[in-house]
Amino acid sequence: MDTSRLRAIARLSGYTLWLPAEAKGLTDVDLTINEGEFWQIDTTSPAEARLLLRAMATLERPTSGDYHYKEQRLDFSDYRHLLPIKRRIAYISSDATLVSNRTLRENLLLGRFYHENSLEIRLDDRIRILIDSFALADKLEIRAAQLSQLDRRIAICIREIAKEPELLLLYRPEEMIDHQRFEPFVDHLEAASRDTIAGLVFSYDQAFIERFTNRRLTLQEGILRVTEG
Amino acid sequence: MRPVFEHIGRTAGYLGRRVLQGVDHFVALHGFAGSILIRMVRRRRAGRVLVRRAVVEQVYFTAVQALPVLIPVALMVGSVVIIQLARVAGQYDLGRTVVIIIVREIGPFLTALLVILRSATAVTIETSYMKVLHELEALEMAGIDPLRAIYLPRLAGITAAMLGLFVVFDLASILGGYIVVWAVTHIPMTDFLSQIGKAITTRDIVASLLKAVCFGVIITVNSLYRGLASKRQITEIPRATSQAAVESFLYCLAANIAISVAFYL
Repeated sequence: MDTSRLRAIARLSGYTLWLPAEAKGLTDVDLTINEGEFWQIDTTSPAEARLLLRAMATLERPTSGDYHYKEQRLDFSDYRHLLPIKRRIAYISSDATLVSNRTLRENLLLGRFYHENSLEIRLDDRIRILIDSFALADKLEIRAAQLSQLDRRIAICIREIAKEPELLLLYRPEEMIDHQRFEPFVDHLEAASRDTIAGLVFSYDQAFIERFTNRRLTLQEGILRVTEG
Repeated sequence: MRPVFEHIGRTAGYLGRRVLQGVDHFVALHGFAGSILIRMVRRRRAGRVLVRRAVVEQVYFTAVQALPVLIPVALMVGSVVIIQLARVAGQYDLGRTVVIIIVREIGPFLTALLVILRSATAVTIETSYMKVLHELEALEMAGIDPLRAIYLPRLAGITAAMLGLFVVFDLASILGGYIVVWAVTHIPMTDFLSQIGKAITTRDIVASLLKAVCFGVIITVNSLYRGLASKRQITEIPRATSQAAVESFLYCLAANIAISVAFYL
C-alpha cells in the first residue's frame, strides 16, 4: 500500500509510556495512522492493546517521545491543550463511561451544551437515527447510573460515533454491543467511516476485522511492529 | 549508644518526611485552588450556560436542601445560648454577648460544620467516583474542561450557599432563640433586639461574612482536591472522604482563629 500520498492523522514517534503501578507500558513506538487506514492490533495481551488505544486517545501521558496529531506536536504538559484534539477522537472501549448522574439525553448533548452554550434539548437527526435503531428512545430521560450496562455501552458508542470523529479507536466492539444489534452497529460505523477518517481496532471478531480493517500491526511486550502493508 | 542515635535518626527522618509531605500538600492545595479561581476570573464563553446551571443546582443542594436541618439546629443552639447567657451576663449585656458568641463565632462555625457533614462529603464522593470510573475522562473526550464544568460550579455554588446559610443561621438562632426563651421561660428580654442592633458593628458583619466565604472556599477546594486525588481503586473513596471532612474541619478552625485575631485583636 502506497502511504506516501496519504495525510497522516496521528503519528507516534519514539513514544514510550511506562505505568509502574500496572507493570506495563509501550516502548519506543513509531506508528503513523493515515486517512483511510484502519489498523488491526494483533496481540496476545488485551491490556497492551487497550494501553495503545488509550495512548492514541491522548488519555495517557508519555514518558518520552512525541505524538503528532495532523502534524501538530501535542503538548502533554497541560491537559487543556489536548481537549480540542480529544474532541476529534472517538474512543469506544469498556473503560469509557457516561456521566452517571446525568440523563442519557444530557450525556449525548453535553458537548453541545458546553461548546455551543445552549441548553437546547433537541437531539440532532444523526443521534436520533442511532437512538431509534438501538431502541433507546424511551430511555433518554433515565440517569446513566440507572441504565443497564448494555444500554450504557450502546449509548457510549452512539455518543462517540455522533462526534463525527477523525480517528476511531475501538476496543473489542463485540463486547460493547449485544449480538442482535452488532450488525446494525457495524453498518453505522461503516457509514460514519468516511475516507478522511482513520481507525485502530482491537477485536477477537474475525468477521469484523476482515470487514473493517485494512492494515495490521503486532504488539508484544510493549514493542510494536507493522506486520502487513 | 548506637541504637539511640539510630532511633533519633529515624525519628528525625520521619518528622522531616511528614513536614515535607505537609508542605507539598499545602502547595498543591493552593495551586489547585488557584487553577479553579483563574477559571472563575477568565470567564470564557465556552460552557458558560452549563456552568451557570451547575452553580444553581449546587446552591439548591447545599443551601435550600440544608434548611430543614439548619433551622432546627440554629433554633436549638440559639435558645440554649440565650438561656445560659441571660443567666450569666444579665439583661443589660445580653444583646452584646449574643452578638459576640453567635454572630462572630458560633454562626459561621456551625454552618461550616453542617456544610462539611452534608456537602463536603457528598462532593468528595461524587468527584472520587467520577475520577475512578473515568467519568472525568469522558468529559475530556467531549472536549470539556472538567475543572470548568465540574469543579468551578461546586466552588461558586458551595461558597454562595455558605454565605446564605450563615445569614439564615444567625437570624434563626437569634430570633428563634429569643422566641423560644420568651415562650418557655420568665427571663426578662426587654429591648433584646435593640441591644443586638446597637451591639453589632460593621466589623462584625464583615468578619463574619469573610469567615463564611473563607470556609466555603476551604471546604470546597479541600473536598474537590481529595476527590481528585483518588486514582484507580474504588476502595480509596471512603478514605478520601474521611480525610476531606477532617481536614476541612481543621482548616476552618485555623482560618476562624486567623480571622478573629485579625479583626478583634
